[in-house]
Amino acid sequence: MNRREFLKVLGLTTTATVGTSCLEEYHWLGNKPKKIVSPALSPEESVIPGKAVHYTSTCSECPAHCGLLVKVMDGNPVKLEGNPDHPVNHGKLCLRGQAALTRLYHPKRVRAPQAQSGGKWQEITWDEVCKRIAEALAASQQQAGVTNVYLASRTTGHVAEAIGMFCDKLKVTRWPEYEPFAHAALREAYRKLFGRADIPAYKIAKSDFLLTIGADILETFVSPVFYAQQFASAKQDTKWQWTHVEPHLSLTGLKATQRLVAQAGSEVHLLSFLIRQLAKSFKKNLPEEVWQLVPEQPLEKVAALTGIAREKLASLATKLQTAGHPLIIVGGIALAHGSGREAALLGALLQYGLGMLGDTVDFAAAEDYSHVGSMLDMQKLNAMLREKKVGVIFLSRTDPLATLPDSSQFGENLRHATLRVGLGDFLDATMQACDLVLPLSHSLESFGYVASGKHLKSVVQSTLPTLYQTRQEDDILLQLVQKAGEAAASQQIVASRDKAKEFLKQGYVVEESVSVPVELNAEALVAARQDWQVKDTLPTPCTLVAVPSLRSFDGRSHMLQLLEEIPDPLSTISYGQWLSVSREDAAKLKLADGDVVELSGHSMASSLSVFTVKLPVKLQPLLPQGSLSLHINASIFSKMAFDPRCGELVAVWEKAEMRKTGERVALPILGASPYQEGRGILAGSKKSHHTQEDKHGHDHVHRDEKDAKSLYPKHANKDYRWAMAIDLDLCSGCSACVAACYIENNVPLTGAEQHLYGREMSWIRLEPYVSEGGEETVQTQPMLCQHCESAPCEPVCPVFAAYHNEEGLNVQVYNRCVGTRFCANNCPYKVRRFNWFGHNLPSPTDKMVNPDVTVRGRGIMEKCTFCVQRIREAKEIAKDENRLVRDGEMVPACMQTCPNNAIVFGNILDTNSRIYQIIHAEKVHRVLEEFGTEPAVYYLAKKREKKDA
Amino acid sequence: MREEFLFNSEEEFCAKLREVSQSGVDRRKIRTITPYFVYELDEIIQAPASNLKFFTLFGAVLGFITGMSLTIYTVLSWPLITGGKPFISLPPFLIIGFEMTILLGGVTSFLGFLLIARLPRIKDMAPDKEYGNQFVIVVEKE
Amino acid sequence: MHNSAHVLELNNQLDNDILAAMRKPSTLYWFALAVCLFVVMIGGALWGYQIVTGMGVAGKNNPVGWAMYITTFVFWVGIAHSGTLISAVLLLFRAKFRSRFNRSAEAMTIFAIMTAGLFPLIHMGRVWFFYFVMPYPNQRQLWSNFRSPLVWDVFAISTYLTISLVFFYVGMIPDFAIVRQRASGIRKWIYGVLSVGWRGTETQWRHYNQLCILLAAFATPLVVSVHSVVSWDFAMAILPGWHTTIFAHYFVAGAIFSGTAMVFTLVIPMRKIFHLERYITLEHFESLTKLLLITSLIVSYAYIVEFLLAFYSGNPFEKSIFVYRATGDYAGLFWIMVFCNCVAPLILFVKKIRRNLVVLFIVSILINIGMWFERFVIIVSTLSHDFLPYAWGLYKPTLVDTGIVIASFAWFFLFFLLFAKTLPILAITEVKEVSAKGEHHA
Repeated sequence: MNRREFLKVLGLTTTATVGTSCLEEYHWLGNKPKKIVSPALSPEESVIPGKAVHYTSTCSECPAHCGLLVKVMDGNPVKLEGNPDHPVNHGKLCLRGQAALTRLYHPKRVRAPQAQSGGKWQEITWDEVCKRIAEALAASQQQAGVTNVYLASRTTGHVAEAIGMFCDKLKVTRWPEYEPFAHAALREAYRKLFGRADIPAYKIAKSDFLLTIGADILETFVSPVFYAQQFASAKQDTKWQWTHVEPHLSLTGLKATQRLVAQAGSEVHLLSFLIRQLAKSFKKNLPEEVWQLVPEQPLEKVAALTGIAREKLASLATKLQTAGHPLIIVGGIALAHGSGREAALLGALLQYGLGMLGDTVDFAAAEDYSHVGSMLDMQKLNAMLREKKVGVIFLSRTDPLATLPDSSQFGENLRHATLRVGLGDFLDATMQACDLVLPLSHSLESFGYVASGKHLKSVVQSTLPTLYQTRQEDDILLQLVQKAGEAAASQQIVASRDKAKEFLKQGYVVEESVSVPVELNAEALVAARQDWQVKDTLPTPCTLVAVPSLRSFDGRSHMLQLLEEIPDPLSTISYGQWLSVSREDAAKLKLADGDVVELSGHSMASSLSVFTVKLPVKLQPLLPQGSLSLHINASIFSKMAFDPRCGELVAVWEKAEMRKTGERVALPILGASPYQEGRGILAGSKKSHHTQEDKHGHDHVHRDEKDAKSLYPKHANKDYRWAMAIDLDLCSGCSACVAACYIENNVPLTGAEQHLYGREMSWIRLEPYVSEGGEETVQTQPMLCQHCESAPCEPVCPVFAAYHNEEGLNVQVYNRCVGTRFCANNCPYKVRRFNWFGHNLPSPTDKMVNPDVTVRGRGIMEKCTFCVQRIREAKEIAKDENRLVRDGEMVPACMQTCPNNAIVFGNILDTNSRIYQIIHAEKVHRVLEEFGTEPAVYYLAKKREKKDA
Repeated sequence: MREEFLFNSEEEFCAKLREVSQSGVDRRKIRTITPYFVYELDEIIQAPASNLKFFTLFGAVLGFITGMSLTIYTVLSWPLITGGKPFISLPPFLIIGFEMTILLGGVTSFLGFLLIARLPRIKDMAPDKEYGNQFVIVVEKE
Repeated sequence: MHNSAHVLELNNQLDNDILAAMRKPSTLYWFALAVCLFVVMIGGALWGYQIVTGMGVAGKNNPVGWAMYITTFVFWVGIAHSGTLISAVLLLFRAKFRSRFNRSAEAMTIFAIMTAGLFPLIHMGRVWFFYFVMPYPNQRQLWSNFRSPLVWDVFAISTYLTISLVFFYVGMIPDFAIVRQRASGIRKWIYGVLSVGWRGTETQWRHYNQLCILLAAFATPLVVSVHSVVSWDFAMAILPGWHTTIFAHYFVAGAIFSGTAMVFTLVIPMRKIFHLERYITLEHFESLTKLLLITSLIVSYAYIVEFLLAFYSGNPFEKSIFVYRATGDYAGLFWIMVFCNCVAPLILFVKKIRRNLVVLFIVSILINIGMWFERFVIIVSTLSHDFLPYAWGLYKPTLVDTGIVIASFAWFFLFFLLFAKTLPILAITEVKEVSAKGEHHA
């Protein structure tokens, strides 16, 4: 029986079980967490000890829904990788996607249904749960004017259908879904202008000029891996240009060919200016009333309002005008302020005018946000709760208590509901406020499908039996529906889920999408004039912007320690909250890293809303003067207001003021200094010393062994010499590689206290350096073991624990290591990690351990191995077929997941390999190669930006 | 039959010793016991130089050979590349060779000393008669 | 011409005076011994805690993999140097003042190596596998890496300990014979065995003398090699501030400097306590002080050369590390080091001060402190500020490593206290010999 048939049987038996009964003990694979796979359903041969099986599934860590291949070994998922064919992510995952596995094994997951009475939690049975909910539903239906509400976060696919069915049959109001980052202004603009409240697919790869205003497409905006992949492919064309406009400093901005700093809130002026400038080249005619919205303004004034230099504004307009396939994306921080709605409308108008719709802006492949509401819906719900008009409220996979402003008093009002049912995996703030907590299975324990776009369905596949007494959401609803005697509806729920079986192997299905021509609703635009809000005043000296973090997004990932362990790539701070301050502003107040400031500001939504917070500061090079920025977390959410016109969260505060308190906080800043100090660390940067440049003034790299000058003869390589090339032009610092490495190699997490001591264990890290010479920029440089041919770490080891193998790998023999740490001292790259303590793996995180990689004990040195376990596997396969490993067969975990395709790995003895081609064709740089270490990691220089005309 | 002379000072001792050795008594028949080393003694009785240095030479050469062969043998028995250096890296191995030279040279010297000085002597560990700070000349007679 | 009975009287008096130290200990002695033992036990407990919990309880971190343990290791190896130097080198040069210091200096050497030797073990992440470092025959033909300076350390330190022990013991054989004569009961038997039946016959003396010369001839290059090897622990690395060819001689000079200072620290109180003023005179101190002064100047010269080389090299890494040493996070320690090692000893140019034991004692303590900080500054500042600015990091000491370092001093003094009560604290026969000669030629 092959895997596919097995899964069919699995599906069928499941269906049979579901369809006929609703037993307490029921689950797909049996409910015994200790067993690997229930023997009744799984044929013996399906689990081969030590052999990895890959299952398709879909990531549930954010609304982007990337396709997964789940690596299962001995019955436990041990690694998530992207599904190479999946149209969203093409085999890549972001760091949160990689960390999604740690959610499955998180020790603090809710393990059984619980009921709260008098502040105490008590485990109850699922039957009890059903009974209590059914009773409460029935009771509230008796009451006049009381509604039962089902509030979930963005839901698609079979669960969405199940919720629909459940709400329909049991007379529960399906409330518009709550997402803290709902892109409300953007969707509202598209709804008004084109009648589509969705987020279109932005076809970056199709464009020849990209203008992003505020949208952090490489970090958190809508579907970052999807955009990163497109960015990587667009970048192949050297003529492709990208301008990013932002009020602060983001990784996305640093990757753009040109980064323009515009005052927060002034984007609307920039857009008006562009519309006016490009009016003549508009492909569509606009009604005259529309032009009144975009007042003609002199260039000087626009430059003053936005803070962008005049010549840059002019050249931006020219670039858009001359581009054959321009693309403008307005989003993120550009819409999260008082004039955000206007910016969104003008952005959409510009997209329409320049003919992007149907070309680079594709509504046919739009992200499905049809069920998603906005803050306005939450406001309504809050009012209903306050007026005691809500009976039973279901809160599924959402944490409004942590994300709604304190001023809404949602927590208080929630108490007025007769029964609060929380569905989720952790006892977060909202779940704590519930009467019943229903633990949901992780998506890796569930079965069904999701639909990120209306045209795209991706399978969600259970890869292991549930670890605990959890259920997937539709099962819970199914039981309730059945209890209510709606047999037909329950059949439908099951049928909907079973659609996934049709595309189990591929993992996804793309359905023919009907391209509906999008027409402009000019009346709606004109109508929007009534509450048109554009400030014509010059910007305030200091603004604070709060942006979603790459690591915790809207806070839903904050409990995953791995994401805190990996530092923020720009500030290099791992644990805790901080305020990024520009060097100039810090100098004014004589602030140093870790100084606590008291910060106040006025929300751009309403000047009444004053924001105050006490935070330690971190000096951020390149952050524009007068701009303060921080990452949004629960404490920031609690202070945020929203635009009452469109429900967009407002994340900009004007007239921000800092006051030094004199207190200091020890921040775990992992990067001691962002400056290269003339050391020529970054590829392409100038070195202050003469020895590194040959007489032509070029970086000198020995590409061939015969070039390398050494006193000693080279040791011969046998069949392979592994090497890596990292394209810094593509590396955005998204840290996905770091997360992938942590999980692939069982790298231990050490926690905040150890980070303060400088004892992080990451095998690969991103070092952000300020470039030297030319226009100042910050480039993140992945730093991992360089597998030096003449490695300084090797000869100093007294016991041969560090040695070089014949494939050019710098090998660390854990069993032999006695822990003198001489190798780490002598490593110029400081990539060796010492196990200062033993690391315990609380159950069930021990199941996440990759069995191919040794778990290191205390007192041992470790470091990047170039994923030697994968090399072994590839070589074994090749050996069975009596050949050498082919190029592309051996992919280390970091390269596998890199959303920007920045990493290439291979055998440089193979002259046809990609790695050989790259290091011989491109201008490559090796870090500190003047020391004769002969590193095997080559960095491709960041191509110098042309000075903007 | 033996004759024993005791002196309180080095000068008296040396004078007597000179007298005895010049009187034609076989050098091997004269034994002295002194509380410290008396330089004139060797000159007076014309004792042959100590052969200890040959032990030392042997030990030192053996040590050097041991050091070098240990390093070279071990590195060839399982050749492991470190830092791109050749397997037989003579400069570092010379350090081991040097240390072994000193170690075995020193230890052999000590053992050689015990051997040629006929030490340890069990019966002298608690001798019947101690001379304290006195200088002694013993002349053996047939 | 002296009265021969007077000479005998003098020599007997000398025996009495020196061996008086071996009499029944006073309460103060027991108290000092108990304090040392207690601190050593605390240190042992801390080490045990570190072994069970992990290296992390000592304050090292990612860039700073070596800190106080290796500092203290080098410090004690340095202390160990003057013992053999005073014994061997001065023997070869026939410097007479040697006889007053050599016994305590040699004892100090042994105890200092015993202390130093603990630190590579203490600092090892998996000390239970320490034997991996030794070349021992094994089934898998897995030997130690002779290219590693740490293995050179193993050979150098163990050779040094062995040779020093042999030298120490050989020097004591005639003295044991004297102790044997005066002891009674079990002690007589023990010292009898230790004296290996020494009588002082001319054959014994002849070979003995040869042995001493040969051992001194070996020990002299050994002294130089041992601290060179220790310096190569750093100089063989490629780190800025470590990778420099002046390290070997600079470290050897520093070692002699610190070792001699420690001799002062030990002998000045010992002389007072055991009333040895007759045998260790101010002249003797003055002679040794000159050694202190000259090594201080060499060390100061090395500091200057290091800076000059760094700035002359044009190497940004080297430059940066020396600027960092003088102005960075550890600048305070750097300037303490400069004061103690370069400035304070300059007062020894004044003859009066060279004969003032109180000042000498204070200067010797300052030098001990300064030399400890020298090693700390070299090790920690380089590691915390090397190549990649991202990876820089600071070392913060913890209770555990500080405790263990303090306990190492207690361990050292514990042995020295035991030595003072069980072995002749001055080389009696040599003092006799030298004073006999001295009286001749005076």
